[in-house]
Amino acid sequence: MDTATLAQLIVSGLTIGCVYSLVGLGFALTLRATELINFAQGELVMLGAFIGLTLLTAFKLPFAVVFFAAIVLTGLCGVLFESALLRPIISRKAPLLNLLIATLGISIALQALAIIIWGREPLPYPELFAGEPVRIFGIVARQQNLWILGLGLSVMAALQYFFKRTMTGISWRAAALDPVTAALYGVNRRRNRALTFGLSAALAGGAGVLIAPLFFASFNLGHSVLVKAFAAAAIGGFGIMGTMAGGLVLGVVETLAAGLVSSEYKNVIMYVILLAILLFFFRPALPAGRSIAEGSKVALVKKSEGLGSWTPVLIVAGGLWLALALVADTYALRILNLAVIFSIAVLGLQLIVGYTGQFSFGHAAFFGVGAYTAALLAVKLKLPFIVTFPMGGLAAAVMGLLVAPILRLTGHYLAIATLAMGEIIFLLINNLKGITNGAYGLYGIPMPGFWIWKIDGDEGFFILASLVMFAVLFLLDRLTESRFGRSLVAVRENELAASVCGIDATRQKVVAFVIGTACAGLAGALYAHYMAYINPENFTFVTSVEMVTMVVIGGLGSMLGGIIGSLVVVMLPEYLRAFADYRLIVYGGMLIFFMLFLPGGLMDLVRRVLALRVKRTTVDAHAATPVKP
Amino acid sequence: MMTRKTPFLIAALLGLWAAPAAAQQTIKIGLVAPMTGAFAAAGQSHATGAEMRVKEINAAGGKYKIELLVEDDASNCNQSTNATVKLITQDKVQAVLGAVNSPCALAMVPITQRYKVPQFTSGVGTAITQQGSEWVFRIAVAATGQTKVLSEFAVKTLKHEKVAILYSDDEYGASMANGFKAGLAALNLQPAAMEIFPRNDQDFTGQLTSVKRSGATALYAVGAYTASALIAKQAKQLGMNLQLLGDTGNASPKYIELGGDAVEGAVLVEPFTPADPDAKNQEFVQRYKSQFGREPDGWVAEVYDTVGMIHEAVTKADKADPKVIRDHVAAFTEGSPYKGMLGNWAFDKAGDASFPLYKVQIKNGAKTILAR
Repeated sequence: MDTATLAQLIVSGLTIGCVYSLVGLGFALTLRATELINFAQGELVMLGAFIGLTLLTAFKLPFAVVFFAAIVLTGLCGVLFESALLRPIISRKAPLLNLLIATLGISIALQALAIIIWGREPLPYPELFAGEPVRIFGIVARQQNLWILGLGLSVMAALQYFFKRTMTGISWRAAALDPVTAALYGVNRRRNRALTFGLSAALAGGAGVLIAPLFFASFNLGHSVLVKAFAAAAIGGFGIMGTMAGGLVLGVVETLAAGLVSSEYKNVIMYVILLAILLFFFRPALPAGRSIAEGSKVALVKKSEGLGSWTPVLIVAGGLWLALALVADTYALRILNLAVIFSIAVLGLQLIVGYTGQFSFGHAAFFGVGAYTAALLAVKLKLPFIVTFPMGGLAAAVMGLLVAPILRLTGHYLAIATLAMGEIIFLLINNLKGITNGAYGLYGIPMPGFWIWKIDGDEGFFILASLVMFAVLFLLDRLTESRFGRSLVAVRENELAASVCGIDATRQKVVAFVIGTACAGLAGALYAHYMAYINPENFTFVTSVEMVTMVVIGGLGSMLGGIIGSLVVVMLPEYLRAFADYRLIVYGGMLIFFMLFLPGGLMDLVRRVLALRVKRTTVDAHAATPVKP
Repeated sequence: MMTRKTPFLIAALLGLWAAPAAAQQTIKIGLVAPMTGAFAAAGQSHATGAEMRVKEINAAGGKYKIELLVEDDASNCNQSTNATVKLITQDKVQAVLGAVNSPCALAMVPITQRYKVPQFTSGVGTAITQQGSEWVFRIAVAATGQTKVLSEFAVKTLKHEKVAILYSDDEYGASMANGFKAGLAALNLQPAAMEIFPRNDQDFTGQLTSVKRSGATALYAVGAYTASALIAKQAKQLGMNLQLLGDTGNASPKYIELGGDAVEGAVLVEPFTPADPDAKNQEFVQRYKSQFGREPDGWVAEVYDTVGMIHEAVTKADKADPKVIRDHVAAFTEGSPYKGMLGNWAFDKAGDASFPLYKVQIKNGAKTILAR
């Protein structure tokens, strides 16, 4: 390896790293001020790029004007999203996860909208700084790249100045550190939040105009760098300088790994390094920060919310549910089957997220481990379903136990760590070709069958999957009602206080996590046998996010809610097919709508209806026997 | 847009008026394609190709008109299979086109087999037609076929013995890359380098550096045309002077538009090319261009022909029935093929079609035919 090549790799790594930093900065700012991961950050980058493109081509404005116009206009969009959509959710004191799903809704809707306005095909972007690449000592650097580096660094300097030297910036920092005290001293939190969203959107807009000439303008421009930008911000501890450095490190590591080690494993290397950094540098001395599920309704419910008292109702409901197999048409049954499969994984995730308050953006990976284990055992060793199914759950549980050390992390560091872990598992499935058949996937997986009961249609599968779902629901419900379940809620609400009471918080978290991943594994095994063909792409980050959406839509901390959420999230896109091109706009819009008007999830709606009845009977009881000393 | 489409709408209406006496019947065709998500552009080619043929058939009158139902799968195989079940059981389509992504097409195979509805897919993954289903037909040249032609042409005609492969980490990339490697092995050669890239990546400097070190004189980049165009640009910026090679994934006119002068000289294989001066071909290109504002690609022609095939099957048997369509299509032979835009259609026992591929080179931003 000669030094010129090495230098070339580093320079290129710095350039792509700068892209991650620029997008990551927006993440860091919002996260600092509002503790919110903004999923729409990538779409704001895309918006900036397209606004810029329209101004450049339709209005023929000079670049400097376009650059600032894109920054200002995208910034205004950010303020608009904050005030119109997010502020109402925040003011309802909804759990943070709800906000996250709302930004996911914005992201989905914006992408679909961009397709309608600017089309499906990527558009070439004018070279803003054309001209021959600069050559220094045999290293080639494009002018565009140098500009990105230069402008990126100046933006960082400007931000640094703003936060260190201006009154607004200082009050912003004060509010980020301690919102309550800052409010006492007259810092306007609302204005601050609007400022943050405006600023991070403006950053995204500027980044869009800068990076689109490198990668073309397309509706998924920002989406493709989203994960790495988030990683950059996490490495940097969500600070300004930190994020800048984090992105550069990430870019250089990635490029060097691809150039020097192995392009197959470059992302594995990158994510392993990311995990190592997170584990060694961000181990909080004391559990701190706001719990992601804080404010979820379950936390407030004192009385047992268990299913015990509802047994007769539930048995009837379960019977009616199974009767669906007889009345539902094939299409409905197929969607129901997928929803039931997902709901089993989501019940596990509910235990991790809703009960223990741990973020997980890697649940789909365990779903994948279960699916692959079952499929391999069925296809290669011809083992029957009665063996492959529990083995799928077991394999996922073992994997869950293996990665459990990341549970020492908290909050957003845990989020990014589970994300990285999920990606590593996905990449391993994709690259261990000898075992998993790699990107080709596995086919010819038989439908489940027992000695005399061979399932060959959607009806039979529906009954089997539903029975599994009922069993998991029952067991988890018992579990959460037990001493163990209560200790989990205690850990979620206040880890410190829980440990003072003698609860081994770490152990409880690990046990919950392993049980949750086992559920995902069981669901994965069912999925593999149902679909007959599986491919690594079924188990990416996107699926993990979908599962988190199911948890939140259904209602954090409610097992029945998990099932309702799965049904809604699997069914919605199917039954919105009539909207054609507007399908995903409606879907995204509905996610936002749910978060705006049903902050406790759909289960909360059910609960409120039931609670009304319960309250009335209690009042009657009081009237009948007046309690008087 | 409106003005361009209006004549066809009027024609379609006239077609409806013209034959009210002979009770007109409908053939329902479903298309499962990504209209959103990362592969939306490919979905667009499929949808427009089908739409164009459907309009023409309906405008021409005749006993059978066609109703096209397009379902978006967003490249998510769960949605592809759901959409397939919906099309077959709810809408009662007689044929399904799709999916565009090979894994999703593969996931659809057990379903079309169970419901006995012919499936026509442009997915290139070899395994699609190896599942023992007699209901699936591949309307594109499979990965193995494409890469055999491309590797032979690169070595024998272009005289490049040191070819590097840079491929995306999905099913499409693996199929093409391994096919090309096998093609080279048949000529007693090894790829100079074999590098992989994650599908969402946009910076390929690391991999390109490895390619440079390998001393390769040609580079076969496998990926969506956006990635291939980016690879070409970045290789050029690194001062690498490589003969670029590409398959049907890069046959879109967008590849040239996005790649600009970086893709100048690139050699592609494609089953259909707008560069063919043949009058029928040129007339087709113009017709498509006037409706959709860009040049057609291979996918457009493949789907265009397939819709024609289905219509022919139904008209001949005078029965809109999935089995009739399957049997008619399976009966095409080299002696009595279906004559379409792509040439003569005949499917082998597995359900694979094959066409002589054009070898085209990009010169001055346009394609010129080197050989067929």
